Amino acid sequence: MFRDMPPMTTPVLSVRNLTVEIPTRRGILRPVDGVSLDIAAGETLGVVGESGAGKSMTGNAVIGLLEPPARIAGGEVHLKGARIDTLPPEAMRRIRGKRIGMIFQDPLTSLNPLLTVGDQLTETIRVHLGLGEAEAQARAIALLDEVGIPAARQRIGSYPFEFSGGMRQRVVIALALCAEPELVIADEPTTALDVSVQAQILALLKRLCRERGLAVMLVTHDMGVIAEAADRVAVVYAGRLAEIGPVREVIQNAAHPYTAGLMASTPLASLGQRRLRQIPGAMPRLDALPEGCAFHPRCDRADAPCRRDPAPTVSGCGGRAACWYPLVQAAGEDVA
Amino acid sequence: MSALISVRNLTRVFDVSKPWLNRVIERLPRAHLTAVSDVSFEVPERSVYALVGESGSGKSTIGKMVVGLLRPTSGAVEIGGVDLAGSSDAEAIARVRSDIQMIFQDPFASLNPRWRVRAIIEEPVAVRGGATAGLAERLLEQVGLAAGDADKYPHEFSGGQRQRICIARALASEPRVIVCDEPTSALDVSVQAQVLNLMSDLREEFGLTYLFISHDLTVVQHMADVIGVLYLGRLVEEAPRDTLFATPRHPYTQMLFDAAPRMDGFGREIVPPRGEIPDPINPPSGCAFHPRCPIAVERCRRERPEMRAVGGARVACHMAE
Repeated sequence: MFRDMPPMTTPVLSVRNLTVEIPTRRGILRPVDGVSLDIAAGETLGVVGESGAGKSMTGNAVIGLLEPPARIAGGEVHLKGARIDTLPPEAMRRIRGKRIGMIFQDPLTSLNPLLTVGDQLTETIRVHLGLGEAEAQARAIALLDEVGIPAARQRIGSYPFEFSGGMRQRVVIALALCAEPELVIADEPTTALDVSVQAQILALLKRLCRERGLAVMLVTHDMGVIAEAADRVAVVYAGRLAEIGPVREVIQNAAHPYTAGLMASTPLASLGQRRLRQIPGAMPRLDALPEGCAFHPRCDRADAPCRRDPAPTVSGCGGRAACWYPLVQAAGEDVA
Repeated sequence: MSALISVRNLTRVFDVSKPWLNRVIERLPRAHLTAVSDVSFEVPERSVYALVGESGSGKSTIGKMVVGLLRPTSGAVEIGGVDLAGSSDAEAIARVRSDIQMIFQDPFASLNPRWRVRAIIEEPVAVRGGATAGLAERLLEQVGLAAGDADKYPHEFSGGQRQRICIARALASEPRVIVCDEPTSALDVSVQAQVLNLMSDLREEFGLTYLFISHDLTVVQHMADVIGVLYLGRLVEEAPRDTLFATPRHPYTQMLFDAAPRMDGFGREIVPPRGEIPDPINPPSGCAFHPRCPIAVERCRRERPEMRAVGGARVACHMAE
């Protein structure tokens, strides 16, 4: 759907035309439809959208954790230039955890409640890095220290329930980092946390991304989190990429009407006004996607082409958008 | 403007002790959690009062005590001059009860899945023997749904539509006060805007008073006239919205404002807040915020600050000026 843009160096993650399908009795659903994106080393790509837009499904498809019957039906996923979406499950399992780390929303469900955090860390370290018991233990303590758990040497024998929500999420981050991954996929990592703790976790993620040169895919529904933590942002709507570009441009100068509407409907954008700007209607269900551009029934710029054909890709300010009538576009760009 | 809701020295203590046998064997004392401690505020008629705070700050517990779902351990809630928990005038209580309604956070959990929308909306009126003919249809249209939706079941609606049904139910008994406990936290941004706009419209149309409970500062900034900031069960600051956002005086309020993600915070490097919310069963001595406070002095560890008026606001801090 999107044209390739020549990357300067090989990106850590490169997703091309990724399509995920779920066969159902009433037809095939496409929760992810032709998504293309790159993440470079040391870069955080925010993936933002409303519930059901396909943002988590994109992350799960990249790490090969789609729940059957969902499956990758098209497109390619490359990690450091090597294709990974066609790997057998066994090979994928070695990559997952070692080269790709994962952080999920609820730290309580992503940790084993019956094992101490030390056991969980050393097990992962030994499996992926082949270290001995003592070395793994030392590394686990160093990691807990790095993610900001006070008195790491004492806390390593504690069980997950003995930690607070924020500390648990730090443990999950340590677990994601323990095999020195190149890519981290963080799916709503701060959604279950309080504002003050969220700020701590975001600062930690930013620091790790910078110091270790990690590529981070940050999946969230919170535009504020994206603005603070992401370098670039991909906006998904009904399984398709509406817009992708540098975070400042996308938030302040969106090309796609959906992105602009999303930004305007946050209370902060309408400060001092009695009413919030709102997008009429709701995102369509996957089994009832409209023809043409999926956003056209809610769009005030929609016209005949939008109702008929999928939107073409246009260049915006430093990014690209899938829209017939973008709000901004690069000078000299020919809108087909 | 007279105060429609008056909350005075409201306190709620929960007994969180282990079972009797455990206490005997493990020699544990009884444990008490003070969820709300000595909170006082007033809400004038036709205004929006917001309570903000992080988890464990007691904001939902206050909401439940205001509508009468929980009894206060001490202190009182008066609505229109009637003390719901203390008054012995059954008739006055019954009258005030129908003046208060509540909207909950999770529209998937707060609608009975086995009831049709009509029965859900009519219930607050039907239980008091009121006339319900055409009520559901009229209210559904008022909240932006179709009259024909009255015969459907909750599962046929999306989250935002369900929250509209909850609002219609809350309006059914023609209340004066609606307590909204995180009414949009479960909704997506674009749907949240629709529901907040609806609530603003209804407030003007019916002259409603909202007690608005939220953890989201941006939502509160949009909706509230006066904001009370809670920390560990205590009110630490209360001010009109513009005053609070222009000059937050309590160090906790300042910390909350700094920590909240901003839409223009590109690459912002903030010093993240220190520490986490303490254990409410063993709260810190003196000012509960002192272990995390950047300007705490010895006095804060010893002595609990009382609420005092500082430049148009009420602040519970020794250092605020």
